[in-house]
Amino acid sequence: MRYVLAGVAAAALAAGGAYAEPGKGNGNGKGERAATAKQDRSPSRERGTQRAERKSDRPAASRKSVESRSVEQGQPRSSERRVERGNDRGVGDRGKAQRGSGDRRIVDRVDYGRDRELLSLDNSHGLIEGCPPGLAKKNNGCMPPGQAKKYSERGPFGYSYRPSLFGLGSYGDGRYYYNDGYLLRLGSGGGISGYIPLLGGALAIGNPWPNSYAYSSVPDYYVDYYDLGGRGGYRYADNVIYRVDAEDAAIMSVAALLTGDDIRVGQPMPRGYDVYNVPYAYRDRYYDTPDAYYRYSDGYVYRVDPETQLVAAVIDLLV
Amino acid sequence: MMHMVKNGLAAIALASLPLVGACTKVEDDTPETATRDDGTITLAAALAAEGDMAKLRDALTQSELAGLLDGPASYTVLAPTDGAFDALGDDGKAIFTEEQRPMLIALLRDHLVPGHLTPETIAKAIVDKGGPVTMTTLGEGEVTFSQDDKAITVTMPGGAKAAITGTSIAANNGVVIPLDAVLLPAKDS
Repeated sequence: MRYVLAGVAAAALAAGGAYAEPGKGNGNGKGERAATAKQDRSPSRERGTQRAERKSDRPAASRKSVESRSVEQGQPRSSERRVERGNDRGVGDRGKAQRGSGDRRIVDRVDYGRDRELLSLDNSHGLIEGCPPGLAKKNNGCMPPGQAKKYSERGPFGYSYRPSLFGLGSYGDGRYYYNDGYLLRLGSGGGISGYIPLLGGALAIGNPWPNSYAYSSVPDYYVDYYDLGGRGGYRYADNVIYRVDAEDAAIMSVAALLTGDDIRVGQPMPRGYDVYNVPYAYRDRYYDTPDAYYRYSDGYVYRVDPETQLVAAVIDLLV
Repeated sequence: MMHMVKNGLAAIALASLPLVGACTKVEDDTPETATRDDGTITLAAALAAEGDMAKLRDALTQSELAGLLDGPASYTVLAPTDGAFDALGDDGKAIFTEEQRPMLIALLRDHLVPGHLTPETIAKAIVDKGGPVTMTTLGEGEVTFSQDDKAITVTMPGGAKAAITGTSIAANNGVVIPLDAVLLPAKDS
């Protein structure tokens, strides 16, 4: 059964299923291990789960009736309610449909700071010490003498394997090998001193979550936004959110890839957001003006002050 | 047991709707390459309807990332054409093996940008800034967009370069922007 979600996704890609349903996790979570920050969120969790289930019955295209929330105090700036044209705002009925609901509700998101701290826990990953599963630990690390040739130091196109090549920016430099879905770090003694499971390798669909690979919780908002289901239905590590089987923690699909950019209110927007990139359903609502511009990252829309280049507000994209 | 999902095929009747707004100059100059706006379909459907993207579809299926294209989050796919994949030669075939799936994913992540970018908004940003603009990716780093004589080009930190070619499709959860080359990351950082 764990292959069902991936199978549906692959079939949708092949068949062009415009309305393939996003995957849903299982709400009966088990406890989490290391690097997990607990939150008191039972009531909202229940609401969130229900909301995610309802939302999954709809295609992404239909999720337009949005009441966004902002961490900013007070009412929206008048510029956000102008019926000005900007960017490449769409054609057709999208604008008409939302024009009537211009007075959007603003709710203070006082917990954005907490969400950001929670997400930041993912930045502290270190190598898993020892040998990956399948390699016996020997005197010389976990690389048995004479077996070094089994490990690849360079991959296709001549790339030397390194964590950053795989989007793993929090690991240090050094000499790495690749073997059987893992990056292996060569220690000073000549053996393998640690390892990292790789997305698509050890962290491929159908594989059990590696016991020693720490993961974090995500904010309630992400549970809703990415349709993650219950607490035990996902794992978050190294900027990837996986859906897992709540029973045996087998990986079912990749729910989201994140940039991991640490964006905070009052701080400058990080480099790499020069182009207007607000998601489709929100472009009629959040478009650049001389007073504000908007950028999307990891499920949030950020309002930026063009003058100061500082992030002025954070807007989530759920009702 | 995998059953093919065939619902929604009818929704792939893409309308060539010209965009309006602040970038009319760019769109007027290149109407044949204006982004097709179709908010009734997902990225998966948009890619499935593309005639020159079979290798990319294979890559996304092999990488097990295909589910992202039907998900709630928004991504822009910098989408190399079949010819772009063919130009990679034997190494381009090697990354399609199960053993090298992490490498294929690494490559694909460099072609995913958060959110909804269109060539029109990229062109506008280049004009507004008066030069190249950068966007972060879901991979190792960022990409830089520049305006050449006729095309917008994309470069990676290691120097890999591609041009936006053909018609982009704006779906409800992202955009497909065709590229004439695969962006390979720098050999060593």
